[in-house]
Amino acid sequence: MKKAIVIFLALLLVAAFGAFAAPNALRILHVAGPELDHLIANLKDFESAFNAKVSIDQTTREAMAERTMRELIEQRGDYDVVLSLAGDDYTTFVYKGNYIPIEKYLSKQEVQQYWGRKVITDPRTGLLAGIPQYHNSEMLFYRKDLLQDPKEQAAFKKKYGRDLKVPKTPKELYEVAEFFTRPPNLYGYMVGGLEWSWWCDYQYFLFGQGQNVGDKNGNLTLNTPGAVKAMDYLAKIVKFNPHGWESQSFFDADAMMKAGKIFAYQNWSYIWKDFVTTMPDKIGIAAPVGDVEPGVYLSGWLALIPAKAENPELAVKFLKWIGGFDYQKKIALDMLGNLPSRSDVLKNAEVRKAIPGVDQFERTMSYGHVARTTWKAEMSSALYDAFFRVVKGEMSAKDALDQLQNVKFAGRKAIE
Amino acid sequence: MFLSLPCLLFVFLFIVYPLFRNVHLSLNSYNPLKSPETRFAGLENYAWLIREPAFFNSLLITVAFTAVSVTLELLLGFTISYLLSRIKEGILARLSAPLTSSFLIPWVIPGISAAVAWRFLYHPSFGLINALLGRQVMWISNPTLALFSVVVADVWKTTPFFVFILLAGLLSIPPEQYEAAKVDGVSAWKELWYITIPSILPLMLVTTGFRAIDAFTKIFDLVYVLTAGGPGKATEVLPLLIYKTALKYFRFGTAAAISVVAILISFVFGAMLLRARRAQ
Repeated sequence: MKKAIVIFLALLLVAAFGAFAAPNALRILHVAGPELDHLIANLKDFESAFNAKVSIDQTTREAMAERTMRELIEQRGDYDVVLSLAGDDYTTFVYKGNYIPIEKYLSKQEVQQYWGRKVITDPRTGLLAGIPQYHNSEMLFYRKDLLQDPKEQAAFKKKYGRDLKVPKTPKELYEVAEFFTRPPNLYGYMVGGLEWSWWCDYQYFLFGQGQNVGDKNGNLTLNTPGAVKAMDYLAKIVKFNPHGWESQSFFDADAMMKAGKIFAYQNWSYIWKDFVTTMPDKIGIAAPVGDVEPGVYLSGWLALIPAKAENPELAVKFLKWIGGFDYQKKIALDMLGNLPSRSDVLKNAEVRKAIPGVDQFERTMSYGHVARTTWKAEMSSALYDAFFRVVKGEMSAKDALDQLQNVKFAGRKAIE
Repeated sequence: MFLSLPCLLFVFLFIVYPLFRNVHLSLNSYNPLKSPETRFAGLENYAWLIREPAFFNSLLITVAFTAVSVTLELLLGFTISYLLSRIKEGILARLSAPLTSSFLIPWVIPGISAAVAWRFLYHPSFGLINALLGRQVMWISNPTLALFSVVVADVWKTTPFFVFILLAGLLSIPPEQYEAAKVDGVSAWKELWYITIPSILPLMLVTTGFRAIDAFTKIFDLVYVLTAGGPGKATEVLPLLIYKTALKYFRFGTAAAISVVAILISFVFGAMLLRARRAQ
């Protein structure tokens, strides 16, 4: 028995060593979730095409920023591909990370296909940093059955003197939310009040004013007139939220929408597949609201090749494969709501047919932004605190943002 | 001396060295997003703490949480253990073993699972508590109520710790003391006040001290799941602030400084406990 155990352990050791010592081994860091599941389900195509052996380490969302930092800043050299960057972290790691820019291995025509490239281009080199596995952004989801109801339309026109239509600006959204707030069964709008969820809503309103937390030169711009307006709109619209929003997230908003408790909210497009399959007659989709432009917050897991990757050649092949037409078409068809990161895939007839509301998605594509800062977590925590002070009436949006810009973060730059 | 080497090695590797490294880190500035280099900062991180309202907010919330939570756990834990120790006859005596064991259930449920369950219970629209009350109370959305809601969940989870330790103490009180008291015609209340409590007071002090240190330094999973420190910063306890400062803001030196302060405060709890024991 002892002999059998020793032989088994020895074989295990040899197999493990063999796997890691394989010349065509690729080590990937990714985030647990449906996109990783999709990648795993399709990985055999890559492995058989390149005679490769891929191992994937999953991280949780809570730990992804730290693990990405260890790899791209501290250069631990544990992975050949880091696929754990969401929109929140694009600026930080694209601007400050140590990685091999993928543009070196792509033709100019290929680079042009990546429609989100403006937020994933390294300003140090002007090169496209990596390849997004997909893109998503938030959209406005609303109760189209209520919007199209003749009785509701007549009542709205009587009250506001204009037609009831899909809101395009925060003011229009405010009026529609106010109109459809009928507690306890229906609330006009929902903002998730947990910090990580609230940050998304803040970005939507901020980008909708044509603003960002930092300007193109890396200066901090927390208290511009547009930023004050955005904070003000957000602090005002929460009065149409269902009770308890302060401790809820956009996932709770998904549930509330499905339960018919809210009229509208803005959220990441992953949820569109659920609505299309379960409530196609009830939920409509539109571009996010904004006074200057649709406030589009762009995200999607971005693949980068760390500078200390042990197998950079295979990593380049992997990025080309994941960003190639075939995989991008697959992910667009399989994961409705997540957009392909390539423009040519989105022009494909089969893909267009499969995505209801594709024209609404296309309205948003040229506007995608991410927070222009390399210290987003600390900044969002302070903005979140300021927001609640504004909601409680302790200070105005202007005073709150002035305090952050001129006192708390005095002397700091958005890009440090 | 030789035989105690493994123990000393363990203490050095897992207690002394990490403590030393933490203090060392607190005297340095390391923010990899700003610079890959570690810079000696002296007391800069501690000076920042003194100026930072978020730190004092967290400290106050954590002290309040610890004081209220531990007090309630002690009172409830003692009451339950006292009642359990008095079950001697009748149907309850036959059920005393399973009854006692049932109090273990909250303790053995993993913290995260308990937090998720309480989050459902507290849901303003779909939660069981509001359904039973017939009212929509914002248990974790109201800044005033949120910390209280965390305390309730923590008391539910950790009272068994007091129950079982104090029960062991109560059951080890020599029965002759109670027999003598009965002979003297002493009332149940006087028995409790003059025999029971003094007999287990040292145990109560030790348990309370341990639990206070535990509550002060380890309240994390419940808060993280229930409120994530919100609404606003209403429940941002010190361990959560340390976590955010280190692993979200990547300000490792500052996080180390906060944790050193937390350790020092824990030492104070421990010292007070030892003093109380000696005085007792």
